[in-house]
Order: sequence, then C-alpha cells, then structure tokens
Amino acid sequence: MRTRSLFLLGLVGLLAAAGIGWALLRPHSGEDLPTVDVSASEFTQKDEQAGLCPWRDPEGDRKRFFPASSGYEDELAALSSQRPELQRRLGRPLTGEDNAVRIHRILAGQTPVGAIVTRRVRGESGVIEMVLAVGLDGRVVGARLQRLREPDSVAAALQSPAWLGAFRGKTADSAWRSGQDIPNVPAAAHSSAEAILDGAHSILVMLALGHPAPIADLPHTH
Amino acid sequence: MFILAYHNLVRRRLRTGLTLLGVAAAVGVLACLLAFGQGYQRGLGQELNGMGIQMMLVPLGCPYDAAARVLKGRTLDASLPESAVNLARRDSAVACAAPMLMAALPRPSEGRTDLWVGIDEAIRPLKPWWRLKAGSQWFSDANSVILGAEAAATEMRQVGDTLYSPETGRRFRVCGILERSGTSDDSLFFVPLATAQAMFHQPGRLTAVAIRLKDPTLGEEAATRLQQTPGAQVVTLAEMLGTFLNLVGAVRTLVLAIAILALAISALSVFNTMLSSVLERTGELGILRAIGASRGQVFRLLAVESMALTTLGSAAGLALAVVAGRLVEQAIKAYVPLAPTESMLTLTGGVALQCFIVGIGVGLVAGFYPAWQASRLPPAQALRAE
Repeated sequence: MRTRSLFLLGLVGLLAAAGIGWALLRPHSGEDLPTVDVSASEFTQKDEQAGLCPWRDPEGDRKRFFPASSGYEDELAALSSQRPELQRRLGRPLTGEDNAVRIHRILAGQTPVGAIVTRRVRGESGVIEMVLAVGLDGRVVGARLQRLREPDSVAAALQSPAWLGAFRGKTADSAWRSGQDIPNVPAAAHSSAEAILDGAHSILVMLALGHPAPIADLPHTH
Repeated sequence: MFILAYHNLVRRRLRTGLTLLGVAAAVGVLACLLAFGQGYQRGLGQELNGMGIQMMLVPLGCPYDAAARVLKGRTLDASLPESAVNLARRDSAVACAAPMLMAALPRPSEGRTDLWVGIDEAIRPLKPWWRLKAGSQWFSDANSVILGAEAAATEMRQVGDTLYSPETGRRFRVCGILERSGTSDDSLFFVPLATAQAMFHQPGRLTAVAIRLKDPTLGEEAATRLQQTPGAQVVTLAEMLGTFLNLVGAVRTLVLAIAILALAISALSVFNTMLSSVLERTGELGILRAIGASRGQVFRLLAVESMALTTLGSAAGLALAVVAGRLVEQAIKAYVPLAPTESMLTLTGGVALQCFIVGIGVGLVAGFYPAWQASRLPPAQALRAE
C-alpha cells in the first residue's frame, strides 16, 4: 500500500514538472522581435499554402449575396477522380486550380440556401481572385472580384455592375461567350475578362461534378 | 544473476514500467535539449554564413531590430543616404557592398502586403543561394521585376508576363523568377534600385547596405571605421549570432533546469523502487545469504537490477527523443528568433552517449543505498522477518 502511494506521488511529481515546463515555455508575444506583421489570417494562409483561393470577406459576401443567411459551413470536394469528365466539359487542359473546390455552403439556420466559391485566375497584370455565389438550383446569384492588380480603367470595366451582373442566372450549361452572352469589355480588359469568364464557368462545372445532387440535399458535414 | 535480476523486475510489472517511464521521459528531454542546442548553433551559423552578408549598415535605432527586419525582408522606418554605399566600398576591408531599399505596400482589404526591394548587381555575390528559373534574366530596364518563387506563385506570373502595381501606377515585365530558397526572398518583389527609389519617393535614400568583407577576421576594425558613417550604425552578423544565441541560452537554461528536475524525480523513483524491492524481499535476501551468497553478490544483484532499469529507461528515452524530437523541435521553433529553416535537432552519437551515461549514472546513484542496505542485512534477522 505504502509502495503504491509512493509511486502515485512520483507520478504526480512528474506531471507537476511537465506542467511547470509547459508554463515556462509557452509563448509570450511581447518577447518576439518587433517586426511588421504582414501576414494574412491563419485561414487565408492555410488556403494559399494548399493552392486554394482564400475567401477574404466571408461575412460581407454572405450578407451581400444571401441577406437572409445566418452562417456557413465548408466542404472540400476533390475532383481528381473526375478529371476526364471535367476536361471534356471545360474544353481545355486542366490546371492545378481544377483539382479541388472548396464549397462554402451558406445556411439560414440549419437550412442551406446556396453556396459561395472562390477561385484564382490569371489576369493580364496579376492574379485575380473571384467570388461566385450560386443558388440551390445551380444558377449564379452574384459575383465579385475580391482581389485584382489591373489598371484602374480595366478594373472599373471588370468590376462594373453591368458586366458582373450579367453572370446572374447563368448555369454550368449556359453559354459564356464574351460579347454575345456576356457584355463586351474594352480591348485592354479582354484577356482578364476571358480569364474571369473561364473561372466562373469552371466553378459551376466543378460544383455540378462535385455535387450532382442539389446543394440542399447534401448532408451537413464539414 | 542477470536472470534473477530480470525475474525480480518483472515480478512487479506496473512499478517497473512506471519507473522506466520516468527515466525514459527524463533522458528523452535531456537528449532533445542537448541535440537542439547543438543543432540550433550549427544551423544558425550555417544560415548566416550562407547569406554571404557579414555586416550591415542600417539607420540609427535598435541595431538588432533593424538587422532582423532586413534579414526577414521587412521594412525600416528610417533611411540612409546613398553615399553610405560609397563610404563602405572605399573601406579597405570591404569586398563588396550592396545598397537596398525596402518598402511595403499594404493591401488591407486583401489581407496582404506587397514587399518591394530595390537592388542592383552588387547584391548577387551577397545572395549566393539565388538561382533563377529557366528563361529568367537580370534586370534589362527600369521596368523589370524579379519575383521570389512564392510571389510568382501567388500572382500566377511567369517570365515575360506583366505585373502591375496599382498603388504606384507602374507596369513591370517579369524578367526573372527565383527558385524557392526557403528564405524571406521567396515572397519579395525585386526591382532596380533607382526604380524603387522613384516608386517610393526616396531619391538617393537606402534602408540598408549589405556588406561582405575580404577577410572576416577584419570585421571589428572595419566596423569601427564604418560606424563613423553619418546617420548609420553597423551590425555584424557575429553580434547578431551572439545575441540570438544568448536568447536561446536563456531558454536553454530554463529547459535544462526542468531536465535536471525530471532526472532527480526519476532518480527518486528508481531509489523508491529498489528500496521497496529490498523491503519486500527481506526474507528472500536472507535465504540467499544463508545458502552462501556473499554480501558483495547481494550488492551486485541489486545494483544490476537498478542499472537494468535505468539502462532500459535511457534506451527508451533516446528512442523517444528520435521519434518525438521533431514534434518538440516544431514547438521550440515557434519561440526562437530567426530559427534556421534546416532541422535544428542534431541527435549525434556524442549526445546519445552523454545521455546514456547520465541515465546509467542516475541508476548507480539511486541504486547504491538500497543495494548497500540489502548487503548489510544479517541472514538470521532477515529470516526472522520472513
């Protein structure tokens, strides 16, 4: 009995030593070298490291495109097994951006009301990050460019309500031709506009392939 | 004797197991600590030497903060006159001096900041790890930009593409992309020095002058001379290395204290185990003595048990250090300034031997008294107790 008590005492001592060690070694932000912190949020960094486009203003976009929503949940749909079908429907060689899609399912209470997907595309003057809101029926609810490096005149054309607003109602099977199905843009904005149109169409096709069932029927999982 | 010792240890498996665990934990912590100390010093030394920069001229202020910012590719508030480069180049001990102008363009709505660095050809000998990707070339005109690997990936740029800076209204052609180096250079945008000075309205100003010496042993004399540069101060990398090692030394002392505490607790645990074992086996030891075992043989039996406990515990502790060491390293790296990108955990044969000897030493010390007491038991008294 005495022996067992001594052992328990020893064990408690070891745990106490470990606790003291943890307390002494845990980080103290004030001791770090004072440098400018230029990093983005942890979530944004993780997405960028994984090659995915971050979602930079979740609350703003959610309220903008789905005003009645109360929250969202994320799901990563891997499409590597559907590459042949994806390539056939996109009609172009696949890129690293086409391997997976992170779906932010928008909820009103516990009920899904739509989805928001972000995507990086190769603009003329730098990366362009787009946000596409899609309804339960697979139609575009709205679009926004959350990051771009284009000159002011090009940026104004690409962000104009008339141009981005033309995305509304489009589906994965719609035609996305610039100048016909979508209004034309100035020549300087043409290549970036083409990249955005391809990005939007790609998102819809990937959503359709990643989720053949309507978004509302999906199980609520992270 | 070894078989007898083995049977005695397995007779109380839980007790033996807990004692082993205690010794293993203590030896594991000690091994990680020693391996980390050696690895950090070696890694930091290699990293700083590999930089090619042996000294820096930075604006007046906290020299270590300034040097750390420059090394990490971050901006400084103050600046130096461009004449500081010529003063440095004229010094007889300086092999090459390279001007640098760093500026940050925050993009809060996008959660990132573009870091632009103005450089000229003189920087190349000071960045020996730079490798340009195929098709890349050095600046051909004022509107050329060389991108770090991470910056190029983030902006989806390739050699020949256009890169626009909306904040300054400048359009660049990507003339080169650096191979990934694991340094802060990966996320920077490099432009010609004059371009950077024009972009950020800093004509004739610099944020640092990076210097390499002809002979590193002349560093102190050169530092004294360069210290006379108006508005500037000198930071040698030896000083930085010393400062960082001092910081790490303080942490190391704390961890060493914990390791010693853990070792002391494990020694007490072994002592307790062996003493309990002697008390429980008084009669058995008496019989051993009665059938002819000498005091020395009884002493050796208990000593072997104690040594076996700590030897096995030490071996388990070293195995633990190898397996869990990487996790410990990741945790420690978060608290260490300018942590080397390479592994900081160097579990060499020497370190393992040191820990093994300490572990066995703990067994010897902790097992001595119980073994001595067992050897002193008079056979008749021991048998009476039974």
